[in-house]
Amino acid sequence: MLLRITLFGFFLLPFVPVFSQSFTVSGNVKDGESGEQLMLATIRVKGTSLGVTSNEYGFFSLVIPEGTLNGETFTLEIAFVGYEVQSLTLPVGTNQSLKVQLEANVNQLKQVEISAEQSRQQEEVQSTQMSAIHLPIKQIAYVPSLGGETDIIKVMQLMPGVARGTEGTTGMFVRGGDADQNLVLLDEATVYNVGHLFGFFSVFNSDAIKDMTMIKGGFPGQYGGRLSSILDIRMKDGHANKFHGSGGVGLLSSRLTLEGPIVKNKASFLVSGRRTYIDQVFRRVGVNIPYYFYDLNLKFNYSLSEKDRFYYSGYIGDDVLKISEAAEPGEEDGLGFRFGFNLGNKTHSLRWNHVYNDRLFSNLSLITTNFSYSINGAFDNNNLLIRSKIRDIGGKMDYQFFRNSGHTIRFGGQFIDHQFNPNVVNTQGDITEVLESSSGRRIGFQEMAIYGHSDQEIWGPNLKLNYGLRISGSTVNGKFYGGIEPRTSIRYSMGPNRSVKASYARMKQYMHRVSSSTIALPTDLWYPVTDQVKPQSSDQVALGYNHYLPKLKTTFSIESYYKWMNNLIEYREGANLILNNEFENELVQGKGDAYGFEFLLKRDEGRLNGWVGYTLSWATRDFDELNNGERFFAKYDRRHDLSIVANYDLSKRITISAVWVYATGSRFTAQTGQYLMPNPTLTGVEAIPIYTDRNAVAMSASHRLDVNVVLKPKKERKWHGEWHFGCYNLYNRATPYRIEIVANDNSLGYNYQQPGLFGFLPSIAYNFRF
Amino acid sequence: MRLRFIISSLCCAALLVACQPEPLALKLNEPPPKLVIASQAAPGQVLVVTVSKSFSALEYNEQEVDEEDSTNVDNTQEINALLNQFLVSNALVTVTFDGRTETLTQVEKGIYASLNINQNPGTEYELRVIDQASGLEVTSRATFLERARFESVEARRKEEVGTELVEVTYAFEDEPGPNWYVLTFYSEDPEEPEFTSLQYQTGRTEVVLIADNGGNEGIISGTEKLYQWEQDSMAVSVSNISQEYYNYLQQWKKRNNSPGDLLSEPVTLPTNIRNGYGFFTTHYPDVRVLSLK
Repeated sequence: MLLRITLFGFFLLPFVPVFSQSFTVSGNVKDGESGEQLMLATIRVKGTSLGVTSNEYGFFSLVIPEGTLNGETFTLEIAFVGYEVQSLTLPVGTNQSLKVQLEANVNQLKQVEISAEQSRQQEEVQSTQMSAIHLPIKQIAYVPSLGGETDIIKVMQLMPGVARGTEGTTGMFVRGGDADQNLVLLDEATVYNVGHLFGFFSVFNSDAIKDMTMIKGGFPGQYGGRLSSILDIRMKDGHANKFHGSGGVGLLSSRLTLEGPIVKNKASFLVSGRRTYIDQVFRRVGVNIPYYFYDLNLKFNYSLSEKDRFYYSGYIGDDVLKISEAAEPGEEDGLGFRFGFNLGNKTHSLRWNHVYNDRLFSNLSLITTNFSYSINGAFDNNNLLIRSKIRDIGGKMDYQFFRNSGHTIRFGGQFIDHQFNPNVVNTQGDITEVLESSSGRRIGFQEMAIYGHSDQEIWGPNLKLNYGLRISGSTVNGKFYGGIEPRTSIRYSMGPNRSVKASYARMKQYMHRVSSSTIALPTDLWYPVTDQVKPQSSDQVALGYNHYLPKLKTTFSIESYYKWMNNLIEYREGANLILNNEFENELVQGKGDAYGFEFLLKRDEGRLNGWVGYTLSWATRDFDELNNGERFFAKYDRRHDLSIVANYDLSKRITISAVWVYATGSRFTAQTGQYLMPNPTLTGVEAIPIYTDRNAVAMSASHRLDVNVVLKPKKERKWHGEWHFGCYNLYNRATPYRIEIVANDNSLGYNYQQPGLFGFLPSIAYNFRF
Repeated sequence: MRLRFIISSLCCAALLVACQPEPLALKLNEPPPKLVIASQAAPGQVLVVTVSKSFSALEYNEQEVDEEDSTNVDNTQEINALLNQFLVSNALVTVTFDGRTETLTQVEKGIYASLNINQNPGTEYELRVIDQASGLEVTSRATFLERARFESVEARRKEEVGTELVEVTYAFEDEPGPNWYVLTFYSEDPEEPEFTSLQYQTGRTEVVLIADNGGNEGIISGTEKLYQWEQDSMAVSVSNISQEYYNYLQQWKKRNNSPGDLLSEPVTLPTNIRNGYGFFTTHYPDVRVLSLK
């Protein structure tokens, strides 16, 4: 009996607040003007090592053990990059609930005694989280990009550990993983297709985005479902005090964002839309390109009380192609020709933040996601409609318990019901002989998980441990798959500005994208695991060193990692996956390894800011049924990957930005020989190619320089307009995406060539806000 | 209106200024040449083996030729010229079976034949080819399988406007146990003389593969639908083949139907030639000619 009481008490101990020996300062941190919640703001007790950061909803809770502070008052400093540090004098020993509103630091060139950036960087160094990149949207506003379109995915590709796919596309290959191993969340809702125009532009309108965090390793327990990365994107909440607008007009698209209060400081909204008009532009010069894409983001938030806040986030985006030709005179049937496709996402998330007391915070999210594509056509007396859909409905519950300044506990669970309805075909007319109508293969699939982890100092503030467990599972057609995913990371502090970190994480993935192509196709589909297709899994260890240099306002980090992957998915040679409901016959599973080193030098403040990221990495695959069972390199095994991003404020009016990237070429199975062979029907002779081992050839290394010059107005007025003059690929060098054999220009014979997609491409854009 | 004009002008100007970058050159190590073997058995204890060599990918490009020349004639001529260049003459080609070794005689450059190859079902053959000029040597093994023979085969044109649909119903003997078969449908080429071997060698062909797991009780039957079959006759053949050759034909079909290297991995054809390329087989088909008039 005594033993049971003791054990019961031991397990409850972490949850027992130590009221008699401490007091708590809690509250929210917001932008003083717009009311936007500020994530990862640092809250510190001046002169001590006590401090926390605000969570993704701006909430913080700092438990101060009594006796650690002398005197009757203490100074609390709240800091966030781009804002003036706020210092509050508070009484010792009294629980406080604060609404902190930070004012923007408008004079970016001014030296501040207490740097918000220093606080944030030190918090990052002292955190147990490693392998993570947090990017507020303001930091990337001037980074040059393809066509002058600010693209958050393309910016992420400039970070170490994130390899690019084909030039210009939004594919991300993180630490040797595949493109479908990244979980992309927009306000908690999964986004399946992150690219417009075959992946050349991301679906995320930067005007609607507040910040984003990518985690490549050391995954916290609340994240799961994908092996390689989590990209958590948060939308703005909407200006809480005044009506504002912003937008831009560029070569490829225009956008407009409107936000403002519904009830001042209580409810606000944000509406943001973007549409490309390349179809309209070409129509003026007599060329018909009937394609366009659009995005629409909606956000509402409402503070019911000091303890309750509700958010609604919605996103609708679509790629539309519509070709329509009238019938020729005298044509039989007179119906002409019609062809089109639609490809789009719709996400909705409804969230409820609740503060139980000054230490316990929760978030409940209800989420739906719809991803669909349809292809339609009509010619002569034939009609064709092909549709595929994924529909998710789910919920997540997350709790955060701030036991004290050095100990936070997080736990919760989630459940998602996925409904897949791929390759539904409706045909009429003669075409039914070639392509029969089919209701497709409807699949219901459920995914669930619970998790808990504790982030706490052990044996003093120098050593902090984050340990936890995620238990996940999936059910499909009566088959259950599940697994335990241990997560742990440890931080050893070598002073306020230096630390060493290590982590281990296991991840499981219960769905995959069926695609063997180099570029994203509208017909790429997501499928769940089945009786034959087992869940993918990975185990990753990482070791890193972080150093903040306050005099240089620069952070240096170096990390190494090793990742083992199981049940990875590849496809047999020549697999044709388009409209193929029997794709499982073409699918094979195997193993993979990835390891490497990542270096990052980053400066987020000052006239000159930006980062240098370098990755040295290897990624291999082992499949019994591919490459004769011999190990081969992954397609995007890029040995060296270097990105240099620099923004320089030449003056108050002019900012120059540049990006220079260098990367080892992606890999290719190249044809090196051939032979002549009678065909099996003996009706001719064919030239049969001889290929290298799978992915044995690395294409030539590529490098590219993009620049952007921003011209701001002379005086700050209510209408603020900026001109952006940019250039992609300034010195017009090809970034190879394939190997071709082409005839020599001036002599007989052939040679190998590596063409690039995009050359020198200037851009002009006008961005404004009011 | 004016703003739209300005935007359109800027867009067009930018697109005009935009450049296509020059492709980058690449040097790849060429693989050393290897011997390439093809074979065909025929009634009367006949076995024909062709011997050629592999060559660099930069010697010939089928796709480039197809793009440059709209006719097949130039393409055929180029292939013939290459064949002539890479066919191997004066090779030593031997087949060992039933305890004896038969040397095949060169009948043309690169083509070797014998009229003394026993074709008893179950006979195992070992092929050895040595190019005496280069010293390259390859070996291979194959087994003569029981010939498949049609029990019945008939073709019927379906009266559906616009489809030119022909249904072919067939039945052929099936040996006990797992077996693999290939059905080939040949259309006549109206430009070739009637009743000559060329008549069915230059028209359209369709290949159907059948894998039998042993449960068909002596007869395999089925119906094949052939769309857009405009000709008034066809030739149909059936062969009993090895599992290895069945896999080869599967890959061959995949290669022909591949969506391209941007959309899938290239298809490598398997081989049963040790230290070489190609395929050594010893089957020959049962052929029927059918009229659709």
